[in-house]
Amino acid sequence: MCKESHAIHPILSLVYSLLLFVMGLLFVKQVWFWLYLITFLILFLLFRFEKIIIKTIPFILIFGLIMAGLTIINGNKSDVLYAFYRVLALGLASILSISIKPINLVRAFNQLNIPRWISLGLLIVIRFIQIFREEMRQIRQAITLRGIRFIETPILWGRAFFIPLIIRVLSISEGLAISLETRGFSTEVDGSSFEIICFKRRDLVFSCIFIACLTFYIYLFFRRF
Amino acid sequence: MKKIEFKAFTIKDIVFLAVITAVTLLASGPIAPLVMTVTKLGAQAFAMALPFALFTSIGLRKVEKSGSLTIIGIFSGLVLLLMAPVMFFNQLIASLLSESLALILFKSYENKKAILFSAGLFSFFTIPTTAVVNILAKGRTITEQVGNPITFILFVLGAAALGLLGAFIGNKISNELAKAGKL
Repeated sequence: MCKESHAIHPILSLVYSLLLFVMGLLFVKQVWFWLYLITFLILFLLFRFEKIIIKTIPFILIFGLIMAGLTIINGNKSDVLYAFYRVLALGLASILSISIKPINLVRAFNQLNIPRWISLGLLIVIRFIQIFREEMRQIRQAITLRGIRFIETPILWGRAFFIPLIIRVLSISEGLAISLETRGFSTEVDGSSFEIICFKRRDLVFSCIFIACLTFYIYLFFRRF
Repeated sequence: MKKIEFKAFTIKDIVFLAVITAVTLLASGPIAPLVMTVTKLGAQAFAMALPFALFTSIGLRKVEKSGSLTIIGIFSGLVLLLMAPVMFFNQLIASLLSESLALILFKSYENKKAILFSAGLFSFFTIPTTAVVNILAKGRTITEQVGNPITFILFVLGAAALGLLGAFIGNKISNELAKAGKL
């Protein structure tokens, strides 16, 4: 059964994010680049992406300033500006991709008959990045408590960090594999899904406006040739 | 003559490769944003070489099956697709190139040199893909991307050297774990 939600279809979000990023990089040197950014920001606001935009803005601004700062070292004024614009293009594209719920992406992949190992692997990677961030923090804490410092004894620090980390990787992956096998997961059998990801009217409206706006900017870009 | 063998991947293999990809991405996470928008060709590969080679070599030691590196490339590429879409192609093509070359030369991952070569040169092989992507997406010529030739050569050699060093350290860690009966 289709579930009602404000999110855009995950595959559409992924494709449009890719388009926005590539086109953003192409348009970076155009005088109307700001207009391009504002147009799609308004579109995202209309489609209720405001929470993600608010979350992304500080990161993009800080990251953009760092990039611009690094470009000052061996670039001129316009290079600095373009470096900042590139980060803005990345930020714009990331709004769509951040909005995708990993589980919905996996469900959409399953509906498209993408091999199960790909969707399963993707889900594990996304989930375990957060788990291992905590594991790494705990290992680093243990190293600090033992008085081992990277600057004084880098080899000992390396051993104290990597060996426990890999042992955790091995034990977690073995436990997870057993758990998946006992639940009937296999690389050879097709899976079923509790929820169906549908293409809704909202997706159609978003697609129409998105493609119309993008076509307009592509026209503006190629008009100069 | 020995042929390249392709064995089926079990759920255990896939899970381990996915988990090792998560750790690889996490380890390279602090460096990635700093070099992501650097315009000089080879800078990203240079920065990513060590963490990528270290963890992928451990992954290949555990799952010694042809195609393991490509699977790591697909997983990391799919995650990066959500952040920087072009990186998907970068990761996929680099892993394919690196693994194909290693398997053509050494036939299987039973030979540790194959693991050293495959994992070590993974980042190095992202350089040609990055160059092509920059030409197609950003319209930047090779000369523009290379900039100072000496810096470029240093980046390329550094990416290969750091990659091989990372793979060597990864193999050392794997040896210790194998001795302890954990791998």
